[in-house]
Amino acid sequence: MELTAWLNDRLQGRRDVVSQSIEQGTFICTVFYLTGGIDLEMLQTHVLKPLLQPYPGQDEERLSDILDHRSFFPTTYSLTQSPEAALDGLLNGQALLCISGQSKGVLFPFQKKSQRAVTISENEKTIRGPKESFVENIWTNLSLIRQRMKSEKLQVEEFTIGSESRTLVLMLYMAGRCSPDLICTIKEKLQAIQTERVIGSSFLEEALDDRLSSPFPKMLNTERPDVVASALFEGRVSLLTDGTPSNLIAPATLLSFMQSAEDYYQRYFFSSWVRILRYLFFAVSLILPSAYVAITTFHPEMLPYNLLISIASSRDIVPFPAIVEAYIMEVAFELMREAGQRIPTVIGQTISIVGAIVIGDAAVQAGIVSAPMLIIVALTGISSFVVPHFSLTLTVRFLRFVLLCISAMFGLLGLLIGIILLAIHLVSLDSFGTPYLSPFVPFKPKLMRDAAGRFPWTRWMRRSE
Amino acid sequence: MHIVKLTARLLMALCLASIMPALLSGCWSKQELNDRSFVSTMIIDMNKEGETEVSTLFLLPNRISTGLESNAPGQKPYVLVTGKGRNVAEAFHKLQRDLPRNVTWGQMSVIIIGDRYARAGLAPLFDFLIRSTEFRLRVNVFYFKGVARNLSKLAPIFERFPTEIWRETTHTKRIPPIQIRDLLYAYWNNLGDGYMPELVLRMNNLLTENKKMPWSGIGGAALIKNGKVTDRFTDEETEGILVLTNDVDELLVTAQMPDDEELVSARLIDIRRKVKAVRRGNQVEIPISVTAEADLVSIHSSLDLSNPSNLRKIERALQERLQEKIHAAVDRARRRRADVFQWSEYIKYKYPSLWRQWSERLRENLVENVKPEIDVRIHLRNTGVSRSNKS
Repeated sequence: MELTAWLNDRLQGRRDVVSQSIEQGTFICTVFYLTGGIDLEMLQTHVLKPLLQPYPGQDEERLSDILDHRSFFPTTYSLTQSPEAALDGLLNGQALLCISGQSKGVLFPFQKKSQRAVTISENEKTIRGPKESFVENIWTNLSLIRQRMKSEKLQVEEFTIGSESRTLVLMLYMAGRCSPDLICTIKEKLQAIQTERVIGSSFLEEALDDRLSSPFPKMLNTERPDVVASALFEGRVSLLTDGTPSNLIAPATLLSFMQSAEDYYQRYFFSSWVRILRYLFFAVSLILPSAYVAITTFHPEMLPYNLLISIASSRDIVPFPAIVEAYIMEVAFELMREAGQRIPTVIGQTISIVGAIVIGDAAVQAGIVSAPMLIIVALTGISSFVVPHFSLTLTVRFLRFVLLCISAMFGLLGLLIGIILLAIHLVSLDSFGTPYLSPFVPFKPKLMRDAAGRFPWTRWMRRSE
Repeated sequence: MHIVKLTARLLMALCLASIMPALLSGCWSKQELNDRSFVSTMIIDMNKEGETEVSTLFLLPNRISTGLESNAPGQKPYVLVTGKGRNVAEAFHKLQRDLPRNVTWGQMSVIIIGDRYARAGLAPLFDFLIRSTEFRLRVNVFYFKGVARNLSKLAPIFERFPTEIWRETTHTKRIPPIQIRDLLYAYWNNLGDGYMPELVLRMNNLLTENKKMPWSGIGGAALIKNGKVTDRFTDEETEGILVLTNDVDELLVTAQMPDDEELVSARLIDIRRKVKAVRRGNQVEIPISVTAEADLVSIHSSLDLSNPSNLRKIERALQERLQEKIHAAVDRARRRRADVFQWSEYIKYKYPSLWRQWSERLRENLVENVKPEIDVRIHLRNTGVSRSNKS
């Protein structure tokens, strides 16, 4: 009764653990499982039935059938080496069989997990590409990836992170395509994580980030299995975390945040064009309000005559300085955007109408803000959504305020210094050894095939040797 | 350790490099649009006492309506303010004292100089312009025969602001444009000669407006000699200047056919000119070649246009007409011994020894020993409808 006693001792507070003893003469065994956590029918047909049938031989023979020959139960099962492993397996949803007098337990993988069906990707939509997205179940996610790459080079390594949550993390990469240094670094960092829980992949993202002071994300997160698969083909590493539908890809460069899955499913011509537009509007969303404030307050002579007249006439009745106006509008926009995410869908429309009328029209009519500023803020807000990955959108949203502040203080000169400092910062960044601005800085002409634009597949994709 | 020191020093240098220029600008040089007033035109006159009068045409954003709201009737969106002083700077200072807003010069696009000031000499104005960093150098300069301030009375019917009307005249190359940088260059580098296009003001009876209205149009051009206006080019000569100094895209020329004295009009397209200097002994020849394409607009003569030799006749008539205009401009400049087209520059840089030789009697030499050769080639490329011979 060693293991059984040990377990009973530890599971006193767990009302959800069911233990059932079966006695057949001297052969006493106990089945443990979590209520609602296992497939009871499987347990009955494959475990309980064989146990309850009268055994023709001796107890010792039966024991060696179970433990050594593994021929007793008509299903797959594993033996535990330590009581801790047995407990882990039990809490992980497996059915545990303890035989009196034995230190080893028998684990049956009869987990029944609540699971969402694979649905359409909501945050990274494509028109022509696949629509599947990851779910919370890590094994479903893995199978979604495996369906897209049947190569035996795909390596899957397993980690359990979190002393209490014991979250399963899978590290995927393709052998031979991925640099051993990268694999080593990520492995070491994963093993070094000291935490009690990992609730989502963002825990890992922060734990693996060695420069948290930077606002730029160092890992790409995606809910699309096709994105993960192509990243693996490109020789990157993917981390799947149990219980979260957004999985991580490392290393990530600035470029990879500007690439959308759609780019690869449309013709190269239009993909390249859209990508260039995306870079343009990335810049717009970062600097447009700052440039507007700097030019109108410091350098109005830069504006063409007729444009100046329009701006000056609509600004004439506005009581605030341009920078205050810009901050009011930008903050109001952020507010609406943030509220829009939280508000239940039913009320959402009401709020957006109120927001549009109050902020869009009434504020201008009342002379609180000028119409050009409204146009600038709206254009900036919309362009920030052009960035395909939300984590970079957040960075841009934040940096915009910083740039706005310095350009209100120092004009275009300040804006320029801000951009230079930003460039210096970006150049100094790296993500797991890959320079953040690569392949632009350092310039790698070979990788240009899939950088600013996308060259046709046929020109650069070959069969691997 | 060494590397740490070096990085620290580099960081320090970077910080300083980014902070120092920031001091050049800063919140203290910030000015809201509401606190600025924008000058669109500067008008300079001189009164009978010899005082300089600077008038500036300001835009009034509060009187401009944008979007759908209609303009308040009878309110002009601009205002002319005048200040007097012994020179331009003083006059401007007096003007600024009474203004509630700071004056921003960056948008100024036109300077108009009155006759009396122009004849007294532009040197003080040039001095003011070259020292001031607030202007752009691409400001158009005009001349007005009379008190230039009066030009602001015009009714800008086609545009919102009078400045627009004046600016567009040079933009469309209806008169030879000149910008302050050209004048400053001529004054500092060459002999200080040049020309200024002329604006005129006349009362136009506009039937649709039910009254006579002051109307600003274009006239000839003023001839500047050594920074002073001394003569005036006629309208026809001004067209000659235009062709000589600019690549004109479109110009209508009307000529008389030599045979039957009937009129022929053609639209010249893409007029290109080439000016060179060639030394022949102690003389310099200035070959000027002007080439253009032409579309026939109207012809009264009953020529058979399907006959190429008749086309050549038309071309010849047009060429002679254009040549006349250019000659007229060149002749007036030479009569006045003025280097209006900056030809002296060719000699100065191409034949420096000759230039030194001439330096004693420069203006005389530039007239006596410089021979302009004008060659005009027009190619009639389109005759429109080919009318058959009346038979």
